[in-house]
Amino acid sequence: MKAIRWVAAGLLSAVLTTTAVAETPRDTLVVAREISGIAHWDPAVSQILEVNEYISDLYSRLFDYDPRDPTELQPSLAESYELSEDGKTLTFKMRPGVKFHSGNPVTAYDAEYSFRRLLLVDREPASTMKQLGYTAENVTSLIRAQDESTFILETPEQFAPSYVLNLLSSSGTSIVDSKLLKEHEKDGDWGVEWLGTRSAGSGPFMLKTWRPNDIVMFDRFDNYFLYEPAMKRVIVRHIPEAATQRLLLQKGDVDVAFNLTAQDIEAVSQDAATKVQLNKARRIMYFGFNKAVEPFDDPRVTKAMKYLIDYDGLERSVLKNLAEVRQTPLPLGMFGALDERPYAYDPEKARSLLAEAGLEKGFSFELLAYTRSPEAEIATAFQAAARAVGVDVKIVSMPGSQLIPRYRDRNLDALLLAYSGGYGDPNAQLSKFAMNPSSLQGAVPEDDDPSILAWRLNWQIPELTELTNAAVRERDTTRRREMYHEIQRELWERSPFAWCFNNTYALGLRKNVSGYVIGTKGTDTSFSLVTKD
Amino acid sequence: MSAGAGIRLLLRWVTILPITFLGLIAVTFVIGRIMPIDPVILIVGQDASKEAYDRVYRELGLHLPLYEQFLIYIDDVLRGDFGMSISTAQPVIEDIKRVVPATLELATIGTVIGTLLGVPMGIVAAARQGTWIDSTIRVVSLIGYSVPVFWKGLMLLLLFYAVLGWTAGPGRIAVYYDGIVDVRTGLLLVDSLLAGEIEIFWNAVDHMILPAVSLGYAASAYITRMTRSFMLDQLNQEYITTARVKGLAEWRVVLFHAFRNTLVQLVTVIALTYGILLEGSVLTETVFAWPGLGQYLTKALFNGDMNAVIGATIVIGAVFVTLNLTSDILYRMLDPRAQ
Repeated sequence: MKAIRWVAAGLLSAVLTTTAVAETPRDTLVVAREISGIAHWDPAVSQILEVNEYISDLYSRLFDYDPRDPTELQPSLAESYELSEDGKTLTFKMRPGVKFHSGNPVTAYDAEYSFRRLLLVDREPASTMKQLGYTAENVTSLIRAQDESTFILETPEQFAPSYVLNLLSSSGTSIVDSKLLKEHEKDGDWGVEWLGTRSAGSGPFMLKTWRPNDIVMFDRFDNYFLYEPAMKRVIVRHIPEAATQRLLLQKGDVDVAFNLTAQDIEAVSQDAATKVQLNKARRIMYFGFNKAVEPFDDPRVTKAMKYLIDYDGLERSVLKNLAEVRQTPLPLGMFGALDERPYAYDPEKARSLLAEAGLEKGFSFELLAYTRSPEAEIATAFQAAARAVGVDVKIVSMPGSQLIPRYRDRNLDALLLAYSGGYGDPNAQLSKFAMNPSSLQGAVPEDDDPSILAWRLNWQIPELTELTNAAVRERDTTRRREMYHEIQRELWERSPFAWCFNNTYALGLRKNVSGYVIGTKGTDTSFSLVTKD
Repeated sequence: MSAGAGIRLLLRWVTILPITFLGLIAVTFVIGRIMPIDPVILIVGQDASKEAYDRVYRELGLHLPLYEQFLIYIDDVLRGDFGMSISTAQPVIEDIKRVVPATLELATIGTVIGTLLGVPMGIVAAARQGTWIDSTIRVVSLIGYSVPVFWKGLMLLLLFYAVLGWTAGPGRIAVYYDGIVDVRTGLLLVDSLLAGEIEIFWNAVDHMILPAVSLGYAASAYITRMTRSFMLDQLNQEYITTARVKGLAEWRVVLFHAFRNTLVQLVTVIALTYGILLEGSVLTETVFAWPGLGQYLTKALFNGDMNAVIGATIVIGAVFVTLNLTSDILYRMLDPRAQ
């Protein structure tokens, strides 16, 4: 199959340059993308990356990344806010005159409803707010509207304000149209079933049509409060096959192709009618090793593994423009993120570390990895490097629906996976990688939390857990940054995680299309500024 | 077919049908439950907390014993409720109404193309056995049989869509026609005609050509081979020699004597082919971005979306039962001995 794809790609490049071109309407953006993962459009339910990207254009939040300047978080539905003396109460003034798609005004009561709904529906998106100590029980008293224009958010404990504001920009905290949703509630489900196939927000676009595995259509919302998008309609077509996406793009039947392969990208960049846009994605790939499985309990062994990944070689040969080497869980440019690369491919160092650990004779283990590319290639390269130092790696390929349950059950030796944080604060990643409350003294069974990656790998880290907990509460920005540096250095030295690549979004675009904003923090991705010359 | 035989046939099917479906549901259900796939994760997300996981686990009824889950499911199905799909957030019945017509349209036209190509080629190959014509036809059908659908589809797209620009590209319809015609049958070719939208009809035809030819070619390969061997069987029989000795024209011998006697077997072959195409061809649907049953079922399987899997399986089961029944009836009508 692989060889066939290669030959097909070669033939495509050979003949495609000379053909006549169709054109999409000037005020319509047509996107080709693999969207079979989309299962639910409710911001309180969906944890699918594609949906969360689109949710940033369907809904607004109290704070948002304005795509015109996506680097900084800015007040959005909130106009301003005040922090109380004790640092635990945030009082927001709502922006007046903002309307939902339905025409209902956006008020503090909608914010109240949205936050309570998020925590009571209690799916994965609620986990961000739960990190602040909210529960289904305390949310009603701590999060409330004082009147139409005043919204109060009291945190159970004191946290760094920048952290809290960042959480308020995550897609789960999108403000939904409470009047509309209340009309469609069924058996106390907070309208989850109804909203699964619709949108009820105040963002620049509305969800018009969704047919699973087929098409998504967004229509412009003409009363959007910040600006008027140039596109009247955005259509996302489900095109599962990369080669087909490329045909459509080069033929001019779509304006953007989302899932091109490295070869496709090269061809698209050489075509006079198309161009390539490279953006870092939120997704960072990593190897993980189960500390409860010998010999990974020895930090020298996990460290040796980090020297067996051919970072540069894989970037050059397999990933090309689809990823960059990155050895920390934090995307480049995030607050507190280090930009260092302590590890390089060095089998000799790995060999001597293994010898120190008494493993000159080697050992063997199972590595779980996704069946697809590039995971399969990365795993194979790692297997070859490991074999050279006497370590026998058995790769077990499986889809996510099998791999994730095994990870959560801690039923594995090692795996290759990726993590995408949900909001623009280092705690999004570090609360998963550098924290394990079940290893603290006096831990209770409830602290066994399968959502925490360090727990899944049985990594016992009482001090690091406390440091990560302290960092998220630190109000002094300089000190907080230093703490995150310290945590990352600790992760390099001792953790059972080996981060390796930050994935890149490589979009193929028609030459006349610009303004597709892709960010790394969550809701900083948007198509609302796209223009076509 | 006599009246008595008709009633016996009817009785047979009336008893077979419920048992078939119950068995089908039971097997699918059990396989679905023992697969190492966790549907809860799909709903709550891979980073969900333990409480959220446990709650959804109970909501789905997974804490109940297997037989109880099965009885609840059967009870729902009898009331026409196939449950919600967790990979589309929509009732399975709605999903099926959407994806089955897309596949039905494609498979029907694919089978027609396959038959129109395959049967004549098979007859000619058999009549000219051992000649260069026979060899050519066998090579052509061998290619159709052995070249991966994936590659064939991509090459068709490349040539006829990208280079020559004779046909439309992937998908069922151009995006600017999407959603204009009211959904009545779900078959775009039919709905557009019912709505009197001739332009949309031709656009749908345009989109249909490549995937249908791609499927039809693959189907014709099988049909050709089978037709050829059925025909050779007949042509070597003594009654053919008798016919030839009587001085009948060769084409009469081939068509009216030999071919007629292959009809019974051919009907079974074509019905089977049609059935296979109706399951949805995942690869063709993927290359041509065709939103049909194959893509739906594959995705549901990978997600452990059992309501969707069982729903789709029942549809496929129904298709096979119907086709079997139809070929059973045709068989009785065509074969004098069965009457």
